Amino acid sequence: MPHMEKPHSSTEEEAVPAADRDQKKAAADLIVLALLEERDRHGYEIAKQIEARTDGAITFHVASLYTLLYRLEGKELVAGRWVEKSGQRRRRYYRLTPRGASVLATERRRWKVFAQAVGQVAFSHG
Amino acid sequence: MAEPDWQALVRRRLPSLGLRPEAEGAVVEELAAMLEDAWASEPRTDHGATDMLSAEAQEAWVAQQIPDTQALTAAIRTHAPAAARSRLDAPLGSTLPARPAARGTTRDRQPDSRQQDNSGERRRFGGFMSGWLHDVRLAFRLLVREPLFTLLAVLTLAVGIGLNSAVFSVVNAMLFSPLPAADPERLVRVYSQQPGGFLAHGPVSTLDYRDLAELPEVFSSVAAASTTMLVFEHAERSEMMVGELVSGSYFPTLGVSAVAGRLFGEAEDRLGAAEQVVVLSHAAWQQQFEGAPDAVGQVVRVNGTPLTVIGIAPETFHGLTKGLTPTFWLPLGLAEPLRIRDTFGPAQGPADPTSERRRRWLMVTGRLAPGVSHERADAALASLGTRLAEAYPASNEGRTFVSFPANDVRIMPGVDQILTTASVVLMVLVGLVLLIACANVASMLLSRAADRRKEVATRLAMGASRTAIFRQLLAESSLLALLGAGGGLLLAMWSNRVLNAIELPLVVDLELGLAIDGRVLAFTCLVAAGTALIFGLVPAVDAGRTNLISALRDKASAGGGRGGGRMRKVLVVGQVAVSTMLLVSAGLTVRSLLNAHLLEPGFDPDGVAVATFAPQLQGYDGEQVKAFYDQLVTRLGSEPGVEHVGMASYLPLTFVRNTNGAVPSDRRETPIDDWPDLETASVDGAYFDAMGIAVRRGRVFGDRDTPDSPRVTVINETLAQRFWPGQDPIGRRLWVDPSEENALEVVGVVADGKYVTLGESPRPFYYAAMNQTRPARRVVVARTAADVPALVRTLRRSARELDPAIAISDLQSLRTATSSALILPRAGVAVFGLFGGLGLLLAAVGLYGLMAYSVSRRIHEIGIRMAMGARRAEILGMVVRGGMKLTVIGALVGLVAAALASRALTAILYGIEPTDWLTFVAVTFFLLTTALVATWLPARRAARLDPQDALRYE
Repeated sequence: MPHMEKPHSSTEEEAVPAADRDQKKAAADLIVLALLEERDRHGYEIAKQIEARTDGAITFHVASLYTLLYRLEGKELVAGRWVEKSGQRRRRYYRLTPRGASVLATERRRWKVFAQAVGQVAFSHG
Repeated sequence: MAEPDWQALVRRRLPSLGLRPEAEGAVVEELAAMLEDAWASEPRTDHGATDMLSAEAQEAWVAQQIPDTQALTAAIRTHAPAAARSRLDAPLGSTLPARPAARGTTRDRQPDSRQQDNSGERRRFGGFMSGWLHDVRLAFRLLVREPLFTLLAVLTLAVGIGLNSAVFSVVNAMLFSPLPAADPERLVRVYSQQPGGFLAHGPVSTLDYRDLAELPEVFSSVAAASTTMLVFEHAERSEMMVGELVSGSYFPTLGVSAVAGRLFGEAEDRLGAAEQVVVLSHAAWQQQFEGAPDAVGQVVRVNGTPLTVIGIAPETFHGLTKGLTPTFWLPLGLAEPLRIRDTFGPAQGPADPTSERRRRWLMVTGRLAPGVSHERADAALASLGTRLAEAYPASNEGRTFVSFPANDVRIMPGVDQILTTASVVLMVLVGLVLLIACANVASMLLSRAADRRKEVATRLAMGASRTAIFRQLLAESSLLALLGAGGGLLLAMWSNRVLNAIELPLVVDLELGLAIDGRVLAFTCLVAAGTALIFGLVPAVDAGRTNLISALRDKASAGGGRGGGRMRKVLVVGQVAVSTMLLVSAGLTVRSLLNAHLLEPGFDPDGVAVATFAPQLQGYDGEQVKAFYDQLVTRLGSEPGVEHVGMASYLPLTFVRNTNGAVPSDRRETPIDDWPDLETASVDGAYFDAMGIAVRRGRVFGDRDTPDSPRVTVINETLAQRFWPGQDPIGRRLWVDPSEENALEVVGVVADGKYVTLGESPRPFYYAAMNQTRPARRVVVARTAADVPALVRTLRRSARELDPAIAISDLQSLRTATSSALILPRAGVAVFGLFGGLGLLLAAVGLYGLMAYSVSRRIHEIGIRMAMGARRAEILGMVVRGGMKLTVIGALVGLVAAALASRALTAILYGIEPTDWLTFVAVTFFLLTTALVATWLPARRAARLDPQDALRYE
């Protein structure tokens, strides 16, 4: 994709309840980036994977998935391109950019520390 | 079940995102793809349901998948890359007004104009328009982003379009403007026709006109008019002007009425009893009376006769002959008392019907009686012609009458054909200039299109249709053409003003009344539209042929192949050559104009006033004429401050030429056809002092030179040198015709002067004694030590004291009288300068476009060269060399052509040779500099390329 410029930093608004918005967004970003680390996927495939691998605990409707991908692409963490396969309508496939990969690594570490910390407190007496 | 149209569904849910169309199209397409996938994998039971059910279900399901359109829109707009945003004014992150998430009833929503739907849903007109608006806005931004490109393109088009509009407004004024009369399609022009004659269609005689007027079954009225030069005097000014003698039926027949006062009719124009009245043209009213309302009722003089102004013709009325607007109209009956008719033939009086019928001087216009067709009129005219030919064979044999619809006649049948042909040739010529301008702009656009091929391909890849791309490119060229047309109109307006203001040094003022009317405007718009198509289509078609894959990889596209490149090179060389020629001509005329002011005309033009009289127009006989001039000279000579008063049959440098074959007496055996033609004028003795012409030898004319004394001449130095080299010419004889008694004895030699043009090489010239030749027309030349304007007033007063009715013309300073000699070089400077400048501009644009294009196509090659170690200066040199090679070829061709063609300019060149090397060198330098700039810009771009980027271009 040519001329995708750096995204403008501005407050993000998404179609999720305000209470768990940040948490869910951060989690969703991590999950999508992780899925794309494995291989390039098109939009709906990503949604399917998330649903399958979380046993349906996390689902996206089309609008929020699209928003998420659009935002990630704007940050140049993922890059999309149209792919036409014979006999099919063309789909947009996303891949992890080097920048996305490094963000993924950082986020992974952060989540690990965070989850451990939460677990140590919240579940130590269980 | 019908496959849902997902994009349409998305569109309905998301009416507008405020992104660039291609970006928006991509969003919609991807959302649709996701929805489709999700829909397909949804474990549903109603998949097999009926269409209606599923359509409802689809809408509902989409609403479920896109629950909050406002939030989605906002998010997309927030995260959209800058390049995808469409509206300059949309604040970042601003939200669009929320749409009711109504289901099923979405038809009332405006579909987005840019949608790439395949559903067959019709675009609504509003959407279509806003699509165009969008295209135009985008085009505008692109043009603003490249001001140099835009400026050059608009300037080029303005020149091309303006030239066409300017020429068309002339053609329009000549050919298309309707006759300024009421109900003009019922008017016919009637001509006396002599088959096989030089001008087959001519005027008719007074008696013929009377016979024509007595055909009530054909014409409801018939008018006659005769255009002639008359001396018009008002408020201390007297000028020769175009006047028209018209029958009393003239204004009623044409249906023209006055804007002030009244127009004369039959009552004021009875033969022998015509009233002394005059109707002024609107222009004369403005010029002579400054539009004063009390002009009506004032008295002016025409040929010395006082006439009362009774009315002003409308501004739109210019008479019936295109280009020749009479200053005023007189009753036809005044022809006799004003001695006007004598100028049309021998004056033998109306008593002699044969000579009277031979004196054809009236242009006749008739208004067809109700119900009479042109054919019937022609038949009646033919039978009248036959009758008259039988009755008056001496004058009318072989002649008949024919009529032409007045609207079809511009000047005269026969002349009109030439006019039409000339107009067509002229339009073709300026059309060619426009084509060159178009080619240049197309070439520039192509070079830019090459830069933008990737962008176009990307847009195609993102789902923009080829039609949309095509439309976008066409919007750009339309905008350019529109701007060009605006500039062109300004140019045409300016040129019309200049052309209207030009006063040619001719006896007749040509007045076309050039104006930018609706027709010219429409023509300009048409030309601009055609222009946009021509130069816009080339890059658009080129873009349309873009092969997606190769374009994305930046391989050469199919368009603009080698053939096109060669054509463009030839075009550029040709343009450089032509502008070289024009610039050399401009340079020569500029230099010669500078010289002209330094040239010695051979006389001293300061401190001299002149005036021309034609007393015989007012009925003076030979003796009265002589007496008048003698008295005038005496009177003037006694005025304080007046030093010398002389007379001449004509003045030098006033576009009047009079030549006579002459030989020295020892060569009089030469066949008379081989006698050299010498310039000559009749002057009196005081003329030389009055003009300040130095006497070299012998004497000038004096009182002893009478009609009865031996004929004498004063010659100039060049003549003396040519006819009697190394000898004393005094006492020699000059033969001016074969009879010995007419041979002139040389009594004096005077200094050389300039006689016809300032640039002429010395000409032989002889002066004849005015007393012995008695020319009818005389110019009085008076020199003063004091003020020339005062002398001009004295001249008028003295003449008026002798005869209050005497007509005075061309009363002015000698400097003014001879300044017309500079008209041609001034016109040369203007015309060659203008066209040379325009030509150079076109050539520079062409060169720039070509070089820019060639650089854009050689990026990869340049990258390789750089990778191989070529330095930037070498790349720069390479590109500049390419452009300069074409320039030098063109300049050489142009210089050679100019050297050959500039000989034609000799007549208007003063003091320089047509092959003046300084001009040629200067023009060449100027041309090369301009070309250097034009090639420098693309060359610099080439040199600034990053070798890596350039290589990656493949």
